[in-house]
Amino acid sequence: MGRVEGKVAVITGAARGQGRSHAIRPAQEGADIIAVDPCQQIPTVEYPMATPDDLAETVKEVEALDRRIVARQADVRDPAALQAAFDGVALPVDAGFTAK
Amino acid sequence: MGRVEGKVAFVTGAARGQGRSHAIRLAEEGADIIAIDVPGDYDSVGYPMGTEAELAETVKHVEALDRRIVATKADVRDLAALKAAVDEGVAQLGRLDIVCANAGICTVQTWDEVTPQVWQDTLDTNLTGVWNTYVAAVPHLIAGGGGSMIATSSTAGIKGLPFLSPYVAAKHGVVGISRSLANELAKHKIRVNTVHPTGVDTPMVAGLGGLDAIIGKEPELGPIFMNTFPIEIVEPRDISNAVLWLASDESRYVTGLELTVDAGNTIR
Repeated sequence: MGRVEGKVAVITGAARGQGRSHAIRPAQEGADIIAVDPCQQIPTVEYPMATPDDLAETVKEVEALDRRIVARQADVRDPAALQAAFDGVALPVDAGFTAK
Repeated sequence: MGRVEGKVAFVTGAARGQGRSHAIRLAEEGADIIAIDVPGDYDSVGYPMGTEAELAETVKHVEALDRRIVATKADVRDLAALKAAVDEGVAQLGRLDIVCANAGICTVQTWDEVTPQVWQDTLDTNLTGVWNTYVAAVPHLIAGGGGSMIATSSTAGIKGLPFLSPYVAAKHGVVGISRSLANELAKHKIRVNTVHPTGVDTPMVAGLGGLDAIIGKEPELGPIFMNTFPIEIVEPRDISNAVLWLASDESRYVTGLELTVDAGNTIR
Protein backbone atom coordinates (compact mmCIF):
# COMPACT_ATOMS: atom_id res chain seq x y z
CA MET A 1 0.00 0.00 0.00
CA GLY A 2 1.54 3.29 -1.12
CA ARG A 3 1.74 6.20 1.27
CA VAL A 4 -0.75 8.25 -0.81
CA GLU A 5 -2.57 5.31 -2.41
CA GLY A 6 -5.83 6.26 -4.08
CA LYS A 7 -5.32 10.01 -3.75
CA VAL A 8 -5.14 12.52 -6.59
CA ALA A 9 -2.56 15.31 -6.54
CA VAL A 10 -2.44 18.57 -8.51
CA ILE A 11 1.05 19.85 -9.29
CA THR A 12 1.80 23.18 -10.96
CA GLY A 13 5.09 23.65 -12.74
CA ALA A 14 5.10 19.91 -13.33
CA ALA A 15 7.03 19.80 -16.61
CA ARG A 16 10.44 19.56 -14.98
CA GLY A 17 12.54 20.30 -11.88
CA GLN A 18 10.83 20.07 -8.50
CA GLY A 19 7.38 19.89 -10.10
CA ARG A 20 8.23 16.79 -12.12
CA SER A 21 9.85 15.26 -9.04
CA HIS A 22 6.71 16.07 -7.00
CA ALA A 23 4.58 14.33 -9.63
CA ILE A 24 6.76 11.22 -9.75
CA ARG A 25 7.26 10.76 -6.01
CA PRO A 26 3.53 10.61 -5.09
CA ALA A 27 2.91 8.46 -8.16
CA GLN A 28 5.48 6.00 -6.78
CA GLU A 29 3.33 5.92 -3.64
CA GLY A 30 0.04 5.34 -5.43
CA ALA A 31 -1.33 8.78 -6.38
CA ASP A 32 -2.77 9.82 -9.74
CA ILE A 33 -1.59 13.19 -11.01
CA ILE A 34 -3.04 16.35 -12.50
CA ALA A 35 -0.05 18.18 -14.00
CA VAL A 36 -0.07 21.81 -15.07
CA ASP A 37 2.70 23.84 -16.69
CA PRO A 38 2.66 26.86 -19.03
CA CYS A 39 5.29 25.25 -21.27
CA GLN A 40 6.16 28.58 -22.81
CA GLN A 41 8.63 31.37 -22.28
CA ILE A 42 7.84 34.36 -20.08
CA PRO A 43 9.74 37.26 -21.71
CA THR A 44 11.07 38.70 -18.44
CA VAL A 45 12.56 35.35 -17.39
CA GLU A 46 16.20 35.03 -18.40
CA TYR A 47 16.55 31.24 -18.43
CA PRO A 48 14.66 28.97 -20.80
CA MET A 49 11.36 27.77 -19.35
CA ALA A 50 9.87 24.30 -19.67
CA THR A 51 8.61 23.03 -23.01
CA PRO A 52 5.76 20.75 -24.10
CA ASP A 53 8.41 18.02 -24.50
CA ASP A 54 9.34 18.40 -20.83
CA LEU A 55 5.70 17.99 -19.78
CA ALA A 56 5.41 14.96 -22.07
CA GLU A 57 8.40 13.44 -20.29
CA THR A 58 6.66 13.90 -16.91
CA VAL A 59 3.59 12.13 -18.36
CA LYS A 60 5.79 9.27 -19.58
CA GLU A 61 7.46 8.84 -16.21
CA VAL A 62 4.20 8.82 -14.25
CA GLU A 63 2.56 6.40 -16.67
CA ALA A 64 5.62 4.14 -16.39
CA LEU A 65 4.62 3.79 -12.72
CA ASP A 66 1.16 2.55 -13.80
CA ARG A 67 -0.48 5.68 -12.46
CA ARG A 68 -2.83 7.93 -14.39
CA ILE A 69 -1.88 11.51 -15.25
CA VAL A 70 -3.80 14.35 -16.87
CA ALA A 71 -1.41 17.03 -18.12
CA ARG A 72 -2.48 20.46 -19.34
CA GLN A 73 -0.62 23.50 -20.60
CA ALA A 74 -1.84 26.36 -18.42
CA ASP A 75 -0.33 29.40 -16.75
CA VAL A 76 -1.00 29.80 -13.01
CA ARG A 77 -1.49 33.56 -13.59
CA ASP A 78 -4.52 32.79 -15.76
CA PRO A 79 -7.46 31.60 -13.62
CA ALA A 80 -9.59 30.78 -16.67
CA ALA A 81 -6.88 28.58 -18.14
CA LEU A 82 -6.34 26.87 -14.81
CA GLN A 83 -10.08 26.35 -14.40
CA ALA A 84 -10.24 24.84 -17.87
CA ALA A 85 -7.37 22.53 -17.01
CA PHE A 86 -9.21 21.36 -13.90
CA ASP A 87 -12.58 21.07 -15.60
CA GLY A 88 -11.07 18.97 -18.34
CA VAL A 89 -9.98 16.49 -15.76
CA ALA A 90 -12.05 13.34 -15.62
CA LEU A 91 -10.77 12.34 -12.17
CA PRO A 92 -12.31 13.61 -8.93
CA VAL A 93 -10.27 16.60 -7.82
CA ASP A 94 -8.93 15.94 -4.35
CA ALA A 95 -5.42 17.09 -3.58
CA GLY A 96 -5.24 14.75 -0.64
CA PHE A 97 -6.64 16.91 2.14
CA THR A 98 -8.96 14.90 4.30
CA ALA A 99 -9.70 15.86 7.88
CA LYS A 100 -10.18 12.71 9.91
CA MET B 1 12.74 -2.11 2.55
CA GLY B 2 11.80 -0.12 5.64
CA ARG B 3 12.28 3.61 5.78
CA VAL B 4 14.90 3.32 8.56
CA GLU B 5 16.06 -0.21 7.74
CA GLY B 6 19.32 -1.21 9.43
CA LYS B 7 19.44 1.86 11.66
CA VAL B 8 19.50 1.87 15.46
CA ALA B 9 17.38 4.36 17.42
CA PHE B 10 17.75 5.50 21.01
CA VAL B 11 14.39 6.49 22.53
CA THR B 12 13.98 8.05 25.98
CA GLY B 13 10.67 7.81 27.81
CA ALA B 14 9.97 4.65 25.85
CA ALA B 15 7.79 2.79 28.36
CA ARG B 16 4.55 4.28 27.08
CA GLY B 17 2.92 7.27 25.37
CA GLN B 18 4.82 8.95 22.56
CA GLY B 19 8.09 7.19 23.41
CA ARG B 20 6.61 3.73 23.03
CA SER B 21 4.89 4.81 19.84
CA HIS B 22 8.18 6.15 18.41
CA ALA B 23 9.95 2.89 19.26
CA ILE B 24 7.25 0.83 17.57
CA ARG B 25 6.93 3.05 14.49
CA LEU B 26 10.71 3.07 13.92
CA ALA B 27 10.83 -0.70 14.46
CA GLU B 28 8.02 -1.17 11.93
CA GLU B 29 10.30 0.52 9.41
CA GLY B 30 13.31 -1.63 10.19
CA ALA B 31 15.14 0.01 13.09
CA ASP B 32 16.48 -1.71 16.20
CA ILE B 33 15.81 0.15 19.45
CA ILE B 34 17.67 1.25 22.55
CA ALA B 35 14.97 2.19 25.07
CA ILE B 36 15.10 3.80 28.47
CA ASP B 37 12.46 4.83 31.01
CA VAL B 38 11.25 4.18 34.57
CA PRO B 39 12.85 7.05 36.49
CA GLY B 40 10.58 6.49 39.50
CA ASP B 41 7.74 8.78 40.53
CA TYR B 42 8.26 12.48 41.30
CA ASP B 43 6.85 14.08 44.45
CA SER B 44 6.13 17.18 42.36
CA VAL B 45 4.22 15.43 39.56
CA GLY B 46 0.62 14.37 40.08
CA TYR B 47 0.63 11.31 37.82
CA PRO B 48 2.81 8.16 37.89
CA MET B 49 5.87 7.73 35.66
CA GLY B 50 6.36 4.86 33.25
CA THR B 51 6.79 1.51 34.97
CA GLU B 52 8.95 -1.56 34.42
CA ALA B 53 5.85 -3.45 33.29
CA GLU B 54 5.11 -0.75 30.71
CA LEU B 55 8.70 -0.80 29.46
CA ALA B 56 8.45 -4.59 29.18
CA GLU B 57 5.31 -4.09 27.08
CA THR B 58 7.28 -1.83 24.70
CA VAL B 59 9.93 -4.56 24.44
CA LYS B 60 7.21 -7.07 23.57
CA HIS B 61 5.79 -4.83 20.83
CA VAL B 62 9.20 -4.23 19.23
CA GLU B 63 10.18 -7.89 19.39
CA ALA B 64 6.86 -8.85 17.82
CA LEU B 65 8.05 -6.85 14.81
CA ASP B 66 11.18 -9.04 14.67
CA ARG B 67 13.40 -6.15 15.65
CA ARG B 68 15.92 -6.15 18.48
CA ILE B 69 15.55 -3.91 21.52
CA VAL B 70 17.80 -3.20 24.48
CA ALA B 71 15.71 -1.68 27.25
CA THR B 72 17.18 -0.22 30.42
CA LYS B 73 15.77 1.40 33.52
CA ALA B 74 17.35 4.85 33.53
CA ASP B 75 16.54 8.47 34.32
CA VAL B 76 17.44 11.22 31.82
CA ARG B 77 18.54 13.40 34.77
CA ASP B 78 21.35 10.90 35.44
CA LEU B 79 23.98 11.39 32.75
CA ALA B 80 26.12 8.48 33.92
CA ALA B 81 23.17 6.08 33.80
CA LEU B 82 22.17 7.42 30.40
CA LYS B 83 25.68 6.95 29.00
CA ALA B 84 25.84 3.43 30.39
CA ALA B 85 22.49 2.57 28.77
CA VAL B 86 23.47 3.96 25.36
CA ASP B 87 26.92 2.40 25.49
CA GLU B 88 25.43 -0.99 26.33
CA GLY B 89 22.80 -0.64 23.61
CA VAL B 90 25.39 0.25 21.00
CA ALA B 91 27.61 -2.62 22.18
CA GLN B 92 24.74 -5.04 21.61
CA LEU B 93 23.19 -3.54 18.47
CA GLY B 94 26.39 -2.40 16.77
CA ARG B 95 25.74 1.26 16.03
CA LEU B 96 23.59 4.36 16.63
CA ASP B 97 21.83 6.46 13.99
CA ILE B 98 18.70 8.01 15.51
CA VAL B 99 18.05 9.73 18.83
CA CYS B 100 14.56 10.53 20.12
CA ALA B 101 14.95 12.79 23.15
CA ASN B 102 11.35 12.32 24.17
CA ALA B 103 11.20 11.85 27.94
CA GLY B 104 9.36 14.62 29.73
CA ILE B 105 7.07 15.60 32.58
CA CYS B 106 4.41 18.25 32.88
CA THR B 107 2.62 19.98 35.72
CA VAL B 108 -0.13 22.59 35.55
CA GLN B 109 -0.32 25.51 37.93
CA THR B 110 -0.52 29.29 38.03
CA TRP B 111 2.82 31.08 38.25
CA ASP B 112 2.54 31.66 41.99
CA GLU B 113 2.02 27.96 42.60
CA VAL B 114 5.25 26.95 40.86
CA THR B 115 7.29 25.59 43.76
CA PRO B 116 11.10 25.54 43.56
CA GLN B 117 10.83 21.76 43.33
CA VAL B 118 8.41 21.85 40.37
CA TRP B 119 10.65 24.35 38.60
CA GLN B 120 13.79 22.29 39.21
CA ASP B 121 12.26 18.91 38.37
CA THR B 122 10.76 20.21 35.13
CA LEU B 123 13.94 21.91 33.95
CA ASP B 124 16.11 18.97 35.05
CA THR B 125 13.97 16.46 33.17
CA ASN B 126 12.69 18.32 30.11
CA LEU B 127 15.73 20.48 29.32
CA THR B 128 18.80 19.02 31.03
CA GLY B 129 17.41 15.56 30.25
CA VAL B 130 17.41 16.35 26.52
CA TRP B 131 20.92 17.77 26.82
CA ASN B 132 22.10 14.66 28.67
CA THR B 133 20.54 12.49 25.98
CA TYR B 134 22.40 14.39 23.26
CA VAL B 135 25.68 14.28 25.21
CA ALA B 136 25.41 10.54 25.75
CA ALA B 137 24.51 9.84 22.12
CA VAL B 138 26.59 12.19 19.98
CA PRO B 139 29.94 10.33 20.29
CA HIS B 140 28.25 7.21 18.89
CA LEU B 141 26.69 9.18 16.01
CA ILE B 142 30.06 10.71 15.15
CA ALA B 143 31.66 7.28 15.27
CA GLY B 144 29.01 5.99 12.86
CA GLY B 145 29.46 8.81 10.37
CA GLY B 146 26.35 10.84 11.17
CA GLY B 147 22.77 10.59 12.31
CA SER B 148 19.51 12.31 13.18
CA MET B 149 18.50 13.62 16.60
CA ILE B 150 14.90 14.56 17.28
CA ALA B 151 13.83 16.27 20.48
CA THR B 152 10.23 16.39 21.59
CA SER B 153 9.37 20.01 22.21
CA SER B 154 5.75 21.21 22.17
CA THR B 155 3.42 23.98 21.10
CA ALA B 156 4.67 25.21 24.50
CA GLY B 157 8.11 25.48 22.87
CA ILE B 158 6.70 28.09 20.45
CA LYS B 159 3.86 29.79 22.33
CA GLY B 160 3.76 31.23 25.83
CA LEU B 161 1.11 28.85 27.08
CA PRO B 162 -0.13 30.01 30.49
CA PHE B 163 -0.18 27.89 33.66
CA LEU B 164 2.73 25.78 32.41
CA SER B 165 5.65 28.19 32.88
CA PRO B 166 8.39 25.70 33.86
CA TYR B 167 7.28 23.41 31.02
CA VAL B 168 7.22 26.34 28.58
CA ALA B 169 10.70 27.40 29.69
CA ALA B 170 12.11 23.91 29.21
CA LYS B 171 10.39 23.32 25.85
CA HIS B 172 11.69 26.63 24.50
CA GLY B 173 15.12 25.70 25.83
CA VAL B 174 15.00 22.42 23.93
CA VAL B 175 14.69 24.41 20.69
CA GLY B 176 17.72 26.48 21.63
CA ILE B 177 20.07 23.60 22.36
CA SER B 178 18.82 21.73 19.28
CA ARG B 179 19.49 24.67 16.97
CA SER B 180 22.88 25.21 18.54
CA LEU B 181 23.90 21.59 18.08
CA ALA B 182 22.44 21.56 14.56
CA ASN B 183 25.06 24.16 13.68
CA GLU B 184 27.84 22.59 15.68
CA LEU B 185 27.35 19.01 14.51
CA ALA B 186 26.52 19.52 10.83
CA LYS B 187 30.19 18.88 10.01
CA HIS B 188 29.65 15.36 11.38
CA LYS B 189 26.53 14.85 9.21
CA ILE B 190 24.38 14.96 12.32
CA ARG B 191 20.98 16.64 11.95
CA VAL B 192 19.08 18.03 14.94
CA ASN B 193 15.39 18.90 14.75
CA THR B 194 12.48 19.42 17.13
CA VAL B 195 8.88 18.21 16.91
CA HIS B 196 6.13 20.33 18.41
CA PRO B 197 2.96 18.38 19.17
CA THR B 198 -0.30 19.81 20.37
CA GLY B 199 -2.00 17.74 23.07
CA VAL B 200 -1.37 14.03 22.51
CA ASP B 201 -3.47 11.21 23.93
CA THR B 202 -0.93 9.89 26.47
CA PRO B 203 -0.78 9.17 30.21
CA MET B 204 1.09 12.48 30.69
CA VAL B 205 -1.67 14.58 29.16
CA ALA B 206 -4.33 12.49 30.90
CA GLY B 207 -2.54 13.41 34.13
CA LEU B 208 -3.08 17.14 33.61
CA GLY B 209 -6.59 17.26 35.01
CA GLY B 210 -6.09 20.65 36.68
CA LEU B 211 -5.97 22.68 33.49
CA ASP B 212 -9.71 22.85 32.88
CA ALA B 213 -10.29 24.13 36.42
CA ILE B 214 -7.70 26.90 36.05
CA ILE B 215 -9.06 27.94 32.65
CA GLY B 216 -12.51 27.97 34.25
CA LYS B 217 -11.26 30.74 36.51
CA GLU B 218 -9.45 32.60 33.70
CA PRO B 219 -11.54 31.77 30.61
CA GLU B 220 -10.01 34.56 28.51
CA LEU B 221 -6.83 32.43 28.31
CA GLY B 222 -8.64 29.28 27.19
CA PRO B 223 -8.51 29.97 23.43
CA ILE B 224 -4.68 29.87 23.47
CA PHE B 225 -4.97 26.10 23.89
CA MET B 226 -7.36 25.59 20.97
CA ASN B 227 -6.34 23.84 17.77
CA THR B 228 -7.26 25.10 14.31
CA PHE B 229 -8.50 21.67 13.31
CA PRO B 230 -11.73 20.87 15.15
CA ILE B 231 -10.06 18.28 17.38
CA GLU B 232 -8.82 18.46 20.95
CA ILE B 233 -6.09 15.87 20.88
CA VAL B 234 -3.95 13.88 18.43
CA GLU B 235 -2.67 10.30 18.62
CA PRO B 236 0.93 9.31 19.52
CA ARG B 237 1.30 7.79 16.07
CA ASP B 238 0.72 11.20 14.47
CA ILE B 239 3.87 12.42 16.18
CA SER B 240 5.74 9.19 15.46
CA ASN B 241 5.15 9.62 11.73
CA ALA B 242 6.83 13.03 11.87
CA VAL B 243 9.66 11.59 13.96
CA LEU B 244 10.04 8.76 11.44
CA TRP B 245 10.45 11.23 8.58
CA LEU B 246 13.04 13.23 10.50
CA ALA B 247 14.82 10.00 11.45
CA SER B 248 14.93 8.70 7.88
CA ASP B 249 17.19 9.73 5.03
CA GLU B 250 14.09 11.22 3.35
CA SER B 251 14.86 14.35 5.38
CA ARG B 252 18.61 14.24 4.76
CA TYR B 253 18.94 18.02 4.31
CA VAL B 254 16.49 19.01 7.04
CA THR B 255 18.17 20.35 10.16
CA GLY B 256 17.30 22.99 12.73
CA LEU B 257 13.60 22.64 11.88
CA GLU B 258 10.75 23.15 14.32
CA LEU B 259 8.26 20.66 12.91
CA THR B 260 4.78 21.34 14.26
CA VAL B 261 2.32 18.45 14.49
CA ASP B 262 -0.22 20.59 16.22
CA ALA B 263 -3.50 20.57 14.29
CA GLY B 264 -2.74 24.22 13.53
CA ASN B 265 -2.46 25.26 17.18
CA THR B 266 0.52 27.58 16.74
CA ILE B 267 -0.90 29.55 13.78
CA ARG B 268 -3.80 30.81 15.90
